[in-house]
Amino acid sequence: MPYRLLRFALSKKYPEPQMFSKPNKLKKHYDVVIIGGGGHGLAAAYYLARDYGITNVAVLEKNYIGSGGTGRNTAIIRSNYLTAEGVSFYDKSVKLFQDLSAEFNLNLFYSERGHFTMAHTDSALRTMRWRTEVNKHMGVESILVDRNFIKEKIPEIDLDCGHNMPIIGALYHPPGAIARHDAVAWGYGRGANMRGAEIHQNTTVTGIDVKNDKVVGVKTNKGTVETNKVLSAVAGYTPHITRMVGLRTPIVVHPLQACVTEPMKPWLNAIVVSASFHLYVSQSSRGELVMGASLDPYELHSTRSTLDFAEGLSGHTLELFPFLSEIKILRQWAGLSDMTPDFSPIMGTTCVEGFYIDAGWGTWGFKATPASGKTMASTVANDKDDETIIPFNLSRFGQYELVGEKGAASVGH
Amino acid sequence: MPEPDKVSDEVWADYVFNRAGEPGIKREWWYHLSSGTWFIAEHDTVKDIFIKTYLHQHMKEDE
Repeated sequence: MPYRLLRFALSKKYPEPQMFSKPNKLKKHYDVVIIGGGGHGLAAAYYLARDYGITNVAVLEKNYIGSGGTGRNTAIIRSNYLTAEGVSFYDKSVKLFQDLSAEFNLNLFYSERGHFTMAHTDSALRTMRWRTEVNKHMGVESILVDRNFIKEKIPEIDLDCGHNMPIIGALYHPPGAIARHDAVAWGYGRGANMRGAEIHQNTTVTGIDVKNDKVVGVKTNKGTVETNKVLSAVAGYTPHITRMVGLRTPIVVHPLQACVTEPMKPWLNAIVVSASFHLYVSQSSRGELVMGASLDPYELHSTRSTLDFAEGLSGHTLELFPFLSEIKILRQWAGLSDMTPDFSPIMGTTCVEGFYIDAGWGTWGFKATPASGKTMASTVANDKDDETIIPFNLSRFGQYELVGEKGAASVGH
Repeated sequence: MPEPDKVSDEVWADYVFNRAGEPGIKREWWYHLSSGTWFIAEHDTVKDIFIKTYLHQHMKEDE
């Protein structure tokens, strides 16, 4: 046994550096309070500290950091959306992701794989063509490809899908990537913490004090803090927080399930999405297939898993990859998706002064983590919506100016 | 339901888009595929339990 390892086992103090400093009790006052210690909240804290020198910040997380959507997604990063506003936003995020491991000095296992959205019908192919043209116009790399191209990149695929719904083409997006999702929260968290922001886990927000339509403080189970700026970044728990400030939103929360298979030797390089079969699959650096499908079709605030999800997803996956019939599902879980009517997020200022919202992330939140952090930090620091997120303001519904991303954000359409 | 011709655009937008999103017991519209029946279910959206179901014709208007 290596001598160093033995010495470590017998030592009384931890000689290895801790990733985060343990904060003391909540202070009486903070310049900014961020509710939600997931990727988005921690990214906002990071950019607030790094780019604006705003370090008197507390991130309040009711559980452990990254325990919400950040730790439950299927880790796909792409910018091949349908609207110009969406493409611009997600492209910003992809570009930030590409250098993030180096910036954090933490391996995020960021792996560019190429992303296929399969079209099984003429109308689907028409949508893929539409998305390709919008992407190209916005300077994002996307190409419409045929069956031969798909077969060359994914030799194991059954293009005819058991003769039921043959693949006729696909939207191919070379920058499509996957990453170690939890590490994104840790990287942003450590970076924010290093620069002075405090991260308080096991701290539940129980109320927000508003006087004359202005935020004056936050009540938690660990005490009350005074602040004039609150950023809510809690995704599937958003309705709890918006109720505290009396805001009405279109958000409805549905569970979104996912699963992984047992590990295999690397065979799937690309990320595969099929809108018709409602599934997306990629092979992680651990060799597991990471798979997801469409939302559970009813409102539920619970992260329970069901058998019908695993059965349905497996059945459709076997239509694409019949050779997987002996492979076992290792683990399944669920997260809460805060859905909006136009499948675009809700970001920016609100009619409550000092209350900023980062929500409505549905099934499209993880890939947005860096761009959300950066634009929300700018918005909170300047008390003005960052240019990129103006179209996503909560007020758009009152003006009927929805940003319709269903064709690109949702798997089933 | 507000009358679309009589209220402002903002009031109508609030009715069309905004929801009571917090967890709780919700009255939901469900459709039974094989019989084509629409019915109402009172659904506990935290415990995932159905408390009551009834045909939509039996729903009280003023509730």
